[in-house]
Amino acid sequence: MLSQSSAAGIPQEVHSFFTNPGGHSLILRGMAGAGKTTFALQIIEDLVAVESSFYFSTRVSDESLLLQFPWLRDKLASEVTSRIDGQKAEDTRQGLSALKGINTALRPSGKGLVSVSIGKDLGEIEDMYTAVEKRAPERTLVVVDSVDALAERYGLACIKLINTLQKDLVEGFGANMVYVLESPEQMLDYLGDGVIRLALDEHQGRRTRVIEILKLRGCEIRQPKYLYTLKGGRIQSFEYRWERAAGSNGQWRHIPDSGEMLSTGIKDLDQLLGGGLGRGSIVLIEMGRGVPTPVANIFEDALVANFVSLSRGVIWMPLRKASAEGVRSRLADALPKDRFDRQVRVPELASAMDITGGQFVLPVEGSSAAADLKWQNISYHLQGAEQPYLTLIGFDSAESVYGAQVMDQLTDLLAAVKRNRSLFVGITSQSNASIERLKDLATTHLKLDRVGGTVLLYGEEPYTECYAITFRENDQGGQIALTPIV
Amino acid sequence: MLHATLPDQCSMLMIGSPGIGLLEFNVYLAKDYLERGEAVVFVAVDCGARDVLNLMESFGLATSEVLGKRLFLLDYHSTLLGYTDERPGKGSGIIPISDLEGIMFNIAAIANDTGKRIRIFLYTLSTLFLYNQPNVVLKFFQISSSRVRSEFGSIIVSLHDGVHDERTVNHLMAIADGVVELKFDDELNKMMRIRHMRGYPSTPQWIPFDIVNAGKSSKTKLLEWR
Repeated sequence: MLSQSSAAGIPQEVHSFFTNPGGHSLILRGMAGAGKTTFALQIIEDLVAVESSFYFSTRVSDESLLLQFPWLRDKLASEVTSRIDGQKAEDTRQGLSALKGINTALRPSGKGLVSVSIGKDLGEIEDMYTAVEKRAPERTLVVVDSVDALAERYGLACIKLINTLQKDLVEGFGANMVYVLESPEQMLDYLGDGVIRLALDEHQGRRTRVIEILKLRGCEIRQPKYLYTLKGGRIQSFEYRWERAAGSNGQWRHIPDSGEMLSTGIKDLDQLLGGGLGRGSIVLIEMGRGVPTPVANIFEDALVANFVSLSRGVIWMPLRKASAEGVRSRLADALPKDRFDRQVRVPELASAMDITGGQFVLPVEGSSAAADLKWQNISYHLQGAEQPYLTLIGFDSAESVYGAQVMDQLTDLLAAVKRNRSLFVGITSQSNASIERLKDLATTHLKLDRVGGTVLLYGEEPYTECYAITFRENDQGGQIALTPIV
Repeated sequence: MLHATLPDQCSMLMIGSPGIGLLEFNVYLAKDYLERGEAVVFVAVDCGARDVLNLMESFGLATSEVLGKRLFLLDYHSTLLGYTDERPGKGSGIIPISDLEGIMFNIAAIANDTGKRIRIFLYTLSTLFLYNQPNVVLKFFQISSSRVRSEFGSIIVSLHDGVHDERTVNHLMAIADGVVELKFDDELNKMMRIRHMRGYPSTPQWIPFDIVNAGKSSKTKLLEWR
């Protein structure tokens, strides 16, 4: 069973930072196009249930902002343009008064056509004060996008503006502030209680995005780097955690073929591959260093479960020399045991076999894969199942039985798979000697890599962008989702 | 507000460059006092009483509600121009005066009638210098400052900068309790400062100010989510 998703809006640390008692300020910086505005708006959305939020932009007009982020409109309450007067404001605007160039709070009391404005007119900045003052003692979140452009508009030094807002609003009112900085420089980092850098990165020629949590005063940083995506105009960050099982949620509900394409058992993966895997194709799934075992198991289990659910036969040599009984138990919730026994064959060395080895175990000698995995032999053992068959080979296990030259011994099998319009899937790790040979033969080549704790999937053939692997309840197939890093 | 900086009983000299907005500044302060429920006497020397009222209305003050009750205009301007017709009576709140003595005489009467501390604006002392000997005006300022401070409340007297000799200005500044200076900077931005205020600390900092359309909205809106 799945208990939670590993994909979230803003990182949990940022959520905790802003919901801890007292006011907090966060500096958000990064290069153009990194998603600073989206991140700031995502903070608003994720915290809107706990505090009133205000967004001020010097860069994007309100209307184009709402067009770009239509989900913002739902929770938009009002536009704050009114200003307040009174002694209370005078008492709490000492920093602002200094910015205005006055040492006492001299402000207009204009209801008529003309008024005298004493001190610099800091319209938008005063609006922020008004917003926070009106909501006090309720805590508010104010996003300034961007603080350096705002400072420039009023001819103020950015450092002075941030210091003033920090003193008056964060410390004085306990407000939460997010300062979006256009400049990626770290000169102003010391002014904020927290600092987050959004970075554009590259993995194997594909774009990735990284949230770097550089500082969150008073808050434990469990994961300093998060991969994230801007899919759908929102921030979705990806956590490390892989401790949960990611199999099926109860009995397997199969995904049917899409025309001539065979389903992988994972909806999003089928979609990425244009409907699934072609009949007669040779597929390589290459696992990079540090890919967690449960992730690799997801792909194995989904393929096997979907083939079995469609009454098809499977020859399965599991990764990491998992035992036949072990993988059968792993799929016990998803598949009835009798179907597994009838349709799946797991090769195991006859010499090492338990005397009570079940019907699903295919005894092999281990001297030659060509002899052990003859197509006639396979067909014979899978008499109770339909074609096309799935041959799923974990090459770490295969090489441990047949040696590093196992690919030389599989030539006949690969030819038979093609001839019979079945499917061969080889899963390799970095240390396997068979990778290069398999790359040459593969019609589909997928790669799994771990980047900053997040597992990414991308296609070399067909060429695709990076997708983050996350958990999601699906009505059919495996309970995972592939989210593009865009 | 500036009134928060001004002592309750004082005489203040407001020196400003021509065109800086001395009249508007005076009207702005007068309106502020009126909105706080105080009584105001405006001595109009450089402009007509009606002009002052119109300006007050453009600042959002409903003059009809306070004129003759808490707002009084001493119209010296009409006399200087030689107008003798259409002279409103005392009850209208606009009181014609024809000499310097009339100013303090009427102020005393208004203070007596209202029974309140009054705020007096004299706009401007510079014009009085045109029609009177300097020593007469200096003496008038010294006596009226002294009386207002001790008996009536506060007085703000405007003076155009650069049109009087240095000695006269120094003399006026010596008599006043405090001096507010208004000037243009090199880029014609309006600046002000409280040069000194007897008994109170002051800083030499120039403060920007402007005469603006009231209720001017911000360039960018602040969006709120709840």
